[in-house]
Amino acid sequence: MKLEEYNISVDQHSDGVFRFILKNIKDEDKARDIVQDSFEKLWRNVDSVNFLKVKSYLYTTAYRTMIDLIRREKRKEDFDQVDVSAYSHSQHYTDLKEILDYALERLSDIQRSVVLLRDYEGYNYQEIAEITDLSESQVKVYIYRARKKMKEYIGHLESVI
Amino acid sequence: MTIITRNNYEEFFLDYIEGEIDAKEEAALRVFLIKNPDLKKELDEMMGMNLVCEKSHVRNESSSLKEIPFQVNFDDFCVAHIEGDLSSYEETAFEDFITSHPKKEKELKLYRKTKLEADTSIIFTNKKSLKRKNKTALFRQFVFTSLATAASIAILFSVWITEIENPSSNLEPELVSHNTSIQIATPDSTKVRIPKDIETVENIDKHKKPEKTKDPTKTKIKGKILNKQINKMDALPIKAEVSPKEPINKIEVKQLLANSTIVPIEISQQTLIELPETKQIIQKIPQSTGLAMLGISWKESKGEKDVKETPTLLKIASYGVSQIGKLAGKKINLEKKYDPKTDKTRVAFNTYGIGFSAPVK
Repeated sequence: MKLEEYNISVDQHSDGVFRFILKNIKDEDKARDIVQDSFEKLWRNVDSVNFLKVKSYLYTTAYRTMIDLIRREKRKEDFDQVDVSAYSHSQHYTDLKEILDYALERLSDIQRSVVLLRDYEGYNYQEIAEITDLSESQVKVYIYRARKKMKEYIGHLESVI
Repeated sequence: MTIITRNNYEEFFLDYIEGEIDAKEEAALRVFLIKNPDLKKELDEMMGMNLVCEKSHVRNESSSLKEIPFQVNFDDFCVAHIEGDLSSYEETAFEDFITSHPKKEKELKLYRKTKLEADTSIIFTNKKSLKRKNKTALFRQFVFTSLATAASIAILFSVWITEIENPSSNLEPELVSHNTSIQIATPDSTKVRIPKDIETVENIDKHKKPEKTKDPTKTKIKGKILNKQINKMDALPIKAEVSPKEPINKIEVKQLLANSTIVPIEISQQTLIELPETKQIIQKIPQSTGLAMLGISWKESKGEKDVKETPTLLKIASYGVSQIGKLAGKKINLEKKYDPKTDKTRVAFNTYGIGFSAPVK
């Protein structure tokens, strides 16, 4: 990859990577640091990375850096362990976007990541599998489970509202 | 010909069904079936397995849709539907199922709501920090910076020299005016001596002369010399005031500045003022310049045409560069390069690792 292509990659993907990480960890400073680290790593390997695969490279790097960070901070939380009724304050949820944000937070880290990659970036199962270092079938299972949980959460809130 | 046994009869059965056995083999097969009547039933079943390709008219064959377990795995089909994992056949069948089951449609709508949309208002603001510059461009920038710094220093020295040559500097009038605020009191008020470099009223304004001559004892001279180059006072005008009302027992020279304004001095012909302080001022001027630090007198390069300007400039530049080197803690040498095309000698030095900054108030 050439210097110009690297700079184009910054313009094309920095927003998306930042958005993806921010939605996962909800911390702007850390998300910014992860994006910085990812592009730093890309620059170090700029000669060996193919421009056509740079998006996947960036998301993979950012995702793994984020996972390392999450593991360090041990902030895992599983949706199953959450009492949905504790979040069922209708006055707090004014629109679907906000509800979805809360639903997304209730997912496990891996479920949230695969759903975000699927919906935000439109990756297929195979691409998500490469980024997250999972098998294709595992990705599919995670996405299906995540959808069911989100649907359950949204349905519950709607019934309360 | 291979003998038909219970171990290889399937091959003969298939060849028989396909019509690929001859008369002898067919006769042998019939004898085998007579001896093994249980296998004749198997042959009949195999012959009845001729499959006909079905046409997939889904809507016309609604009975076959019952085989798809929408009822049992409805959630999975909903997710598969929004993920686009269903085949066209399954998609059509699923839509038919939803149409015929309105209660399920509500659940499907909930699943559709789980599709996230990227919030495009979230952007990475500091993209500039991620971008990189070309190494060649960086090198060019470095060379350019070096040249620019050298040029800046050359301009700085040029301005410095120009300032020395320019009499309307801000610094020197202050020095001169400070040093020339003198009061000269004469014991003999009637005999005040003024050098010829001070233009008197006699030369300037003859209308007031008679008034002063009437009472020379009441003359007070207030001189304002507006020239920093006091050594050339011969040709310079001097601002002075003479009050005829008071006796001339006190002469006060306020300021000496290089101003071309000619102010009349009202004084009698007999009045003579001595300004011994002016000589001291002349000596102080060169000491206030940076050239003195180099042991160079500005007069040498200015007044005398024989003295070449280039060696002096080079000397100044060398001194400046050496001072910069001292500040930076590095040894910096000026390099001279002769360019035969332009017939000019260029002077430059390496500015690597050197930066300049100025505090901003």
